[in-house]
Amino acid sequence: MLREIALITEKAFQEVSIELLETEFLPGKRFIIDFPFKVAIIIGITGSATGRLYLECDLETAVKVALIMNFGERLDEPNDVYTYLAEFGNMISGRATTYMTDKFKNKEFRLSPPAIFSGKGLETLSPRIKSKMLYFRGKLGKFFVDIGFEEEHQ
Amino acid sequence: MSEVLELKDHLIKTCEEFLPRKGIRFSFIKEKAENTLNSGDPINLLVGLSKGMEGNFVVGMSKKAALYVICGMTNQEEVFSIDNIARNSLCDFVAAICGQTLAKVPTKKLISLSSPTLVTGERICLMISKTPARKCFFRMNDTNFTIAYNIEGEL
Repeated sequence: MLREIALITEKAFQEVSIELLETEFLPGKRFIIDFPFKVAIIIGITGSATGRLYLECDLETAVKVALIMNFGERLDEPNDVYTYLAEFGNMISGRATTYMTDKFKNKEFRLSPPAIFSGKGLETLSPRIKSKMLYFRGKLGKFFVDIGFEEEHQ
Repeated sequence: MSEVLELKDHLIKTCEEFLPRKGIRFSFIKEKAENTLNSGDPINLLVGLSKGMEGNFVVGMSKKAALYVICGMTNQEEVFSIDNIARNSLCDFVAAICGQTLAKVPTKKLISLSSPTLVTGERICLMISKTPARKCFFRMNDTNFTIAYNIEGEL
């Protein structure tokens, strides 16, 4: 199930990027985001399976995404970067869960609102979760997506 | 109609019931409405809520406070580092606090909790909702911990 969910998430990420940002992100090999300041969006998943979707990029990429989402206009407030990125994450997870519900007819998935963390040397861990990691590269930068569920739901 | 929940009293009651059982001394300091973007603590534990209520619940603490929590949760006298067992116990801690607090909310709605996630780093900022969140400050032994939340739902 996790492998299929990872493929669904990959599809959702690519579709939303093209529709919203008009740019393509290609899945690729593992990388490390070496920019010290990172932005992470965490969206909890509940329902038939308990887990979370994690989306990470560097601050520079987050600003580029926010500017495009603001129709290229200068951001009114620095916090808008986080609001836009949260919306980006919300759209990806919303699309992914719609596809998951279509694929696994007898299952139901719900999302919690996005939580945004930003900081230096950001590290996250969900100890009970088994997850699949996805790495995307595009002209705006790099994104790391990790989707996982508690092992009892695998 | 959906409303933003006030959990201060439930949080204090939960801490009164749960923390002394784990050998953790605490006292409530204050509750504050925070801006949308808050400064976080070096160690943050996040639980997301959906179904009957929607929102996020974040327990933030210093490394020192985390070590006290780990001692209490794992029944050890002293802990010096945060290994995998310790991380698990921190997640159990936030799940217990969040679950027991929400159990006190008078609602018939079923509330689903997501898996806890541990976020660490330096100079952390966090935004758990687009509207200002509430943050409760607690004293724990000789250090502090905070509980930030923004939960909306129908009672």
